[in-house]
Amino acid sequence: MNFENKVAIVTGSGSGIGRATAVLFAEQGAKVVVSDINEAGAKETLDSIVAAGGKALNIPCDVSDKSQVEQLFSQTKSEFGRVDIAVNNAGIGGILEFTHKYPDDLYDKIIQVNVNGVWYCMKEALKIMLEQGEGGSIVNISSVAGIGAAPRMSAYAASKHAVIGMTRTAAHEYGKYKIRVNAICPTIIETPMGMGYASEEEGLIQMIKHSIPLKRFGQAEEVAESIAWLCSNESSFVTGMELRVDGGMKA
Amino acid sequence: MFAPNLYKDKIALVTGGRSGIGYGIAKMMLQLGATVYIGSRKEESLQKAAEELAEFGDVHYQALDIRKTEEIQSMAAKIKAKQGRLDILVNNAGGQFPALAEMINDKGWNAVINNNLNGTFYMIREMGNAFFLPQKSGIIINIIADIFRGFPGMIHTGAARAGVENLTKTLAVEWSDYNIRINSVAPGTIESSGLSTYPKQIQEMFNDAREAVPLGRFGTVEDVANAVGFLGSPLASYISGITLYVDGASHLNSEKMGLPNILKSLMKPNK
Repeated sequence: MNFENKVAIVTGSGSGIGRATAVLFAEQGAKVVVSDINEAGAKETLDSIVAAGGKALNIPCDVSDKSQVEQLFSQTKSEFGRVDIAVNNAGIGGILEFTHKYPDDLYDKIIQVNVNGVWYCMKEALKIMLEQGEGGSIVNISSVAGIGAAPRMSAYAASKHAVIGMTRTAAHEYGKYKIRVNAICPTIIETPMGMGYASEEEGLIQMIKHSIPLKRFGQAEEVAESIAWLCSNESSFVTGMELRVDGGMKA
Repeated sequence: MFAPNLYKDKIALVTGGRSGIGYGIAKMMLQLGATVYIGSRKEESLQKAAEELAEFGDVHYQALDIRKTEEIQSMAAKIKAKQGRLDILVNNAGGQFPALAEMINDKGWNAVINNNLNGTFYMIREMGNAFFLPQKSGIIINIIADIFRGFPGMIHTGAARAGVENLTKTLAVEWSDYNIRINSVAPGTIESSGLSTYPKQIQEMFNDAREAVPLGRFGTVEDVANAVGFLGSPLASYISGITLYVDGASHLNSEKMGLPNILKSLMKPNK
């Protein structure tokens, strides 16, 4: 068991990549905090972990609300005693629309969840990890939209680029405390969020699939394996990195 | 986190497997169940390395100069005769010497380009034709260097490794039809046998450089081997065309003048 005695918080773990990550951590022996704004989804994740004999706890959280994030981390600390791993995964996609017509209120919402949410979570994780003095691993979920253009998703692209900036800077700032900070950049993954776009525009989805050299979308489990590797001892010299899990799309 | 049988039944070839990072990669893959071929120019020390590595698993060796197509083809024939296939190619062989750009002559420049860029391409082309394309499967990992912001003090290897990074991207797309994944690993400064070959002043510079790494240390051979182990395994089944930096975030540092400054003091003492 690679994550025995480790405590991991995974936001947005009520479905998709977050769920696969929470399940994988639990399988590998971690105590996992399942957190999502979607409480029914979080409960499903929790139930499947517990049914498989894993240790987990559900703490609902809207990551765009600073006080709820503070509560998420302080409750984790009081229940499980510590925080070793924070996977800041919760995020939203918005709609497909050109920039000049993109609704400002939706732009604001995307920034609040995808940027402020990661920011609040990272701050709380860093405070606890610094206090523990034993290092730690933070993985922020960015996107291929965080390292390049994403037509008709300008708000999402802006938010995911911001995540890369925070990740690189924090890696630089906290390296000396053995806190590693990395980002993951998935392309479209076969999750409820990823496939949500498919229902909007089938033609676009096929075009994107064709632009991926491996000619398929990724599975949530494939992203989870990369996240777990970045939190393991096998990546102990990797920090400040944005790891693309994109089937070669942005090669 | 690697399962003990992660590389069971896999056939891997590691160039430059005689020492340092290549040796570490070969050892890791053997420990995880692979059959590993190592190649290197110096046959005597290669044989010695293979004898040591035999403790960890099924290891084979053959002298190999990656700049010579016929030697690469001979290695491919050896692997084909015994195993019938190749699953993983790790292009680790390479080398360079610290030098100021204005003082590198044609011979020195060509030697580094020939070894690091041409040799890597020859390896990929030959192993692609012999195995990966007909098999319709293969995993290639190229060991490059921290070239994110250029490579002050070693312009030749910076250029060669940038070439390898670009061919990695090209083949991730061009060979995707053959189910071939190809990625690069970019180590920062690694505590390995190579470091001791540098002049004393440069070794002293390493002490400052070590503190400048955001993680506060140089990497280990195991750090790089673990990154290769990840990319070469099914754990990375959706990852292709990337460069994975294994450098404690050094590539985000902007201070890169340490080595050129030392070289200037060594080579141009009056300036």
